[in-house]
Amino acid sequence: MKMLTTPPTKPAHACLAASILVACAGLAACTSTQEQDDAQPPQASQPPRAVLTDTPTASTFTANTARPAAALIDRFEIGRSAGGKPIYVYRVSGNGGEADSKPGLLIVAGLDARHTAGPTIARALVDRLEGNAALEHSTLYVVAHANPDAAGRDDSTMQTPGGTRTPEDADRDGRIDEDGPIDLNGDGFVTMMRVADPPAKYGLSLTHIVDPDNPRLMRRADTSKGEIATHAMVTESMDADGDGQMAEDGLGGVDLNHNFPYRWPEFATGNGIYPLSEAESMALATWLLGRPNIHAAIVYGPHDTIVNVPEAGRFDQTNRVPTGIESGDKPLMDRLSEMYKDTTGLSSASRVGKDGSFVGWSYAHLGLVTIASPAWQRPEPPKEEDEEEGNGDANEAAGAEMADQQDDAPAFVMIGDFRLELTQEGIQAAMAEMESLSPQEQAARMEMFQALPAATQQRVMAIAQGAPDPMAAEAEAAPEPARRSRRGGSGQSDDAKWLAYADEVGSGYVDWQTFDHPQLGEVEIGGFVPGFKLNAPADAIDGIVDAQADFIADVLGMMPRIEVEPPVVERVGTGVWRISVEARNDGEMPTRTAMGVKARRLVPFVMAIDVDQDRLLGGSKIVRANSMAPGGVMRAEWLVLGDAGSTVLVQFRTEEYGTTDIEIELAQTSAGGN
Amino acid sequence: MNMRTLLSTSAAICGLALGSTAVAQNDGRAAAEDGTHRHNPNYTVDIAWNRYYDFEQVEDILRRLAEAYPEYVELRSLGKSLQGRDVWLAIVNNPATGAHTDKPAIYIDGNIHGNEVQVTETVLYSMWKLLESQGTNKQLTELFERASFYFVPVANPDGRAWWFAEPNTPNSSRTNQRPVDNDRDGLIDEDDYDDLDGDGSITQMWRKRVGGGWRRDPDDPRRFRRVGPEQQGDWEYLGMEGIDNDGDGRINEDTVFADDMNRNWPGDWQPTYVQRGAGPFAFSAPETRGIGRFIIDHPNIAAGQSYHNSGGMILRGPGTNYRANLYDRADSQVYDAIAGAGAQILPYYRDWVIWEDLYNVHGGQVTWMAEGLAIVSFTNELWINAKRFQGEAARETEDQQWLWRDHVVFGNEFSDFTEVEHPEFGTILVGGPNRWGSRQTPPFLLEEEAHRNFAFTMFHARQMPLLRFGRVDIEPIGENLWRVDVAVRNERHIPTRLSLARRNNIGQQDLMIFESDDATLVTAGLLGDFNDRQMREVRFEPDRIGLNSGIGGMDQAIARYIISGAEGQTFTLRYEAEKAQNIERTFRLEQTNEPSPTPLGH
Repeated sequence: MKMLTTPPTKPAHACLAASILVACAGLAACTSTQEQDDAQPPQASQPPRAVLTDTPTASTFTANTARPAAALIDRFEIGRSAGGKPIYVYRVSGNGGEADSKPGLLIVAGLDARHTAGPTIARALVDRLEGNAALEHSTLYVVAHANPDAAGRDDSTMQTPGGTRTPEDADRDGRIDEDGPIDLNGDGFVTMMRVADPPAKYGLSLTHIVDPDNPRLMRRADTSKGEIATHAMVTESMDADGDGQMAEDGLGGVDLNHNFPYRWPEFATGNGIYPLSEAESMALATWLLGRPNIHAAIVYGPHDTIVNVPEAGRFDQTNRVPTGIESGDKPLMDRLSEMYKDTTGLSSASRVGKDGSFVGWSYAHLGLVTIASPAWQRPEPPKEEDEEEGNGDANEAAGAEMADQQDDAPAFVMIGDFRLELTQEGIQAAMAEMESLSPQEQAARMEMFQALPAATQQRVMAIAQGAPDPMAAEAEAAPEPARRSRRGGSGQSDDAKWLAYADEVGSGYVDWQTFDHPQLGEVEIGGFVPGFKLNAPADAIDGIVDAQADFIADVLGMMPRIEVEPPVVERVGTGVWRISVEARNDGEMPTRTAMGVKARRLVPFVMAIDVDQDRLLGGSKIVRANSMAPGGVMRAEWLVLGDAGSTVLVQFRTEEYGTTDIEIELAQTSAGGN
Repeated sequence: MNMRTLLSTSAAICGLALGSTAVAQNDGRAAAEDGTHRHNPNYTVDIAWNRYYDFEQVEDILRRLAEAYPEYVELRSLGKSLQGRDVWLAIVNNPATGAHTDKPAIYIDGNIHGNEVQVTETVLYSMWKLLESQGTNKQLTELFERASFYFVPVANPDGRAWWFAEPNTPNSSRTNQRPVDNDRDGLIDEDDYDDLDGDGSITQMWRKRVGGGWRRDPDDPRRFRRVGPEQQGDWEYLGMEGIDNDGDGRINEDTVFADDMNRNWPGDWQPTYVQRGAGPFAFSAPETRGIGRFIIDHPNIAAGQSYHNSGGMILRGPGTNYRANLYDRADSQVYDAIAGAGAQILPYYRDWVIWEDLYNVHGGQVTWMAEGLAIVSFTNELWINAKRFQGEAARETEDQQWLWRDHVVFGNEFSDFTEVEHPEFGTILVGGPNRWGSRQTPPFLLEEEAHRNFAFTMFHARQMPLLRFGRVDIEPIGENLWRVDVAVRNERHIPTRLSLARRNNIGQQDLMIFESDDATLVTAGLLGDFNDRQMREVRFEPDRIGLNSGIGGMDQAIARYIISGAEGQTFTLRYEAEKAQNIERTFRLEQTNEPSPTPLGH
């Protein structure tokens, strides 16, 4: 009996290959005494297991390219940015085995250039994890600068999404990128303008007041408390093209986190003309699709899927695509979440919509174990005297400034076939139109309106009355602390905490200064610096890298680990053999996530026996396993007609890790016959 | 354009290519000028439209048309298929009346499903008929002056080549030829159909077996019938022609079926676990990506048609119920008007909404064009069996079906049963309706179907926006001060911007530009009609009024300009729209009351 890997001439540089050779030798020794099909049961020696991590690529799986692991850190170019800069992946591999046929963990950073800390952390992890013991059975891939054009530019002065530089006529006026934010007062940052007395012709609404608790901050006027707005808020800019609008068509740019195929937000600007329209997103996607061994992804950026595990079992309008995670993946994600919080100390994260994001795509379309995090949160302010212990002085999260309203606050509702735009103007127009309807039609529409969810009705009423949109406000301002009450005990607003933090670190906030605006007259410019709320300060990076490296090493150690047991052959009668082959997952993750099984991107694990149909007395020639749980077993059993001593070939095929040829001699094995 | 130039050019081509007599040329000129049809023309390029062409022959026809009409036809490859064939685009335009990108264009393609072959002949016929009509047909000559035409006869070249070269069923294979492991066993395309009887088609397999559930009709053994209750039958149906190529105990379980490229477009694209055949991502196929980029890069495309078979339908979006809100009343009326005419032009065709009347489609082509790019777009499904006997019934009787097979198409759509030794099943019968038998238009009706579909797309193209200046009132309202009210009319049914474009930020808004060397623009605004006393003033850039709603079908926009200038000074107005030919006119500051040239609607 022999167990072969193909091609057999593969250099045995790896210790795992050696272990397979040992296994073969052991089996050969076992079978050498059994020359007749009616031989005595062999001596009960326990041959070592063959470990399926060094399997070369089967020709049917074009994705895996056989390439011996040479250096422990390799760098490959996976594409070029629109600006012609290379996009690199670092591959950190361990001794032994074919790196691209071992379970892979991919780290991606820099998709959103505003998250400047991400690429720094990701690149540092390459060096930090080199030589890690977990890499004996797994491979780490790192795309530190997924958006290299943006990485080189100074976004701190531009309050624009950290996207690509694809030109876009955002205001559809035939002029491209002509009126973006400008650092008017030359302080090095684009912040906000507060305008107490805007000229009427610009049509700006007064929405904010000076926060009475903290006069350096602005906040929305709360009409329910009788507050009357005093200021309009406008991004630091001027009406450069003279069309009456400001900062309405900045330096183009596609937000790569809105350019992936998962629930691609089709009808908004800045998301690309189609999913993967950008050179950067396409390069990353096509490379990843060609690396089926990559099992998990860690994404550094505004999204979070790990401090707060996304809700399980909720689907979008297709009833198939999850908006969070599949229920079957919840145990794994819950465990990873606990590990992450314990290792990193992070306890809260903001909710950022995943539509169009790499994070959403890698999970819901590819089925990867996807872990997303900004990797940092604002340090907690010192507790105040009167504060109760444990009263959830929740540290509200980094990334709140990037909260995405898209998922949480739809811009319209359908009332029957009538589309109601959820703006004050839209609702007023709808009410005007109502008056033109017949009484019957009016009654019918009211009935349909009353059939809407109560929250939606309240939202419509609030907007109609000019109150701040409750959902939009929530999406904007409310991070979700993990397992704690939402409201902090200190009574401070989130902005007040950020301000206190800015004062502590001595940067991140610009105090209001008057400025003579060419169009708006006297304005004041100030506020938080773009990206400040998202990024760890430089002196915190080392500590973050330490914690992330610990976590990643743990995750690498959990990767699926497939072991093929020596086949068992049982003589059932003269010329009749029962063959069974087992593979087991000794890792701590399932071989496929529940999402991966549902997505069907990869074919199942297959055990296929190569005998003529008329020699196969029992069993299916093809045995499939969609996923193997930790400790789970895939077992194939066949009843075969054949001469003693002849051989049959069984192939164990995995799209991720390659194919193993198992040549089985028809002779009773030690474990057989029980 | 200069009609005389065109005609003499056309005549010269006729003379050159065919050596036609002077008499024939004179006939053509006279016919075009008095607007009558010429029913017995001498065609510049003779092509038989009662037959089918494989991919190489299609390329040959394209070359012949391009060579015969070099000034009108530009052939361009939009990319290579997976197997290296060109995705040909023919840009058909009269450059004498403007660049193709400056005119509204209709985009017409077909055969994105490899097995739906007659649509290619339909696209080629359309291109040929349009070209041959120049100078000989007044209406099509006029349309050609103001519109351009983008034809992609074969959107799936590998699929067409495969269908003609290999034995197939009527349904195999609609996809591209990407290797896909359909039965998920780790091997790719290893068990396709097999043409056991060598007739060039994949037909049925039957085996004699007591208890098989079928029997043969004693009067006509070609007819297999299911047996009734408590009857066993003595024949069993074994599926479509094939053997167990990979020895896994199953037959035809891993054919070349791959990506359905009509599910590979960006609008509402969904992964394969939602939409079968969607491919790894939108535009993953080089064919769809090449075509899609061309359409994106040509915002002058105002109308779209993608030909398919079969069933006799004029289909439009939305593809799913949850996209229904994209079509408001105004836009739906445009679709209703065009498809309504189409259902008359195309007997037996039905005017259907994809998700409502057919099935859910995610990532479809025409829904992407319609919803993602705000192009009025349809999919026509060619051929319906009701056309066989052209009665009122949608479906012919069984006897009619055999009458058709035996005595109208003389057996061409049916392979007689022959005995074959099958490696797994033993002696079997192979035969039945062949690949020409259900979805393809019979050749003798092909030209008719092509022409009627051509007529529908020309009706559609004709509805693309046509702008003209309408009523003009110029009144002095003070010392060197003038009030100028000017209407710009859209004299066709498709708006310059669909409501969907405005609501979803698609494309560029229309612009009305004021220019003058001497007069000064004081301000400007928009009026609802000529009696409107409440001008909506444009506070910023009155010399560059943005009209995000464009001009509706059979509607007009009215701008009011307050101008300071001496009598006799001039100014120019230009209306710019992505989906119309821009118009421009110079006006004099002098009392003017110029009525609309004709009432809208004619």
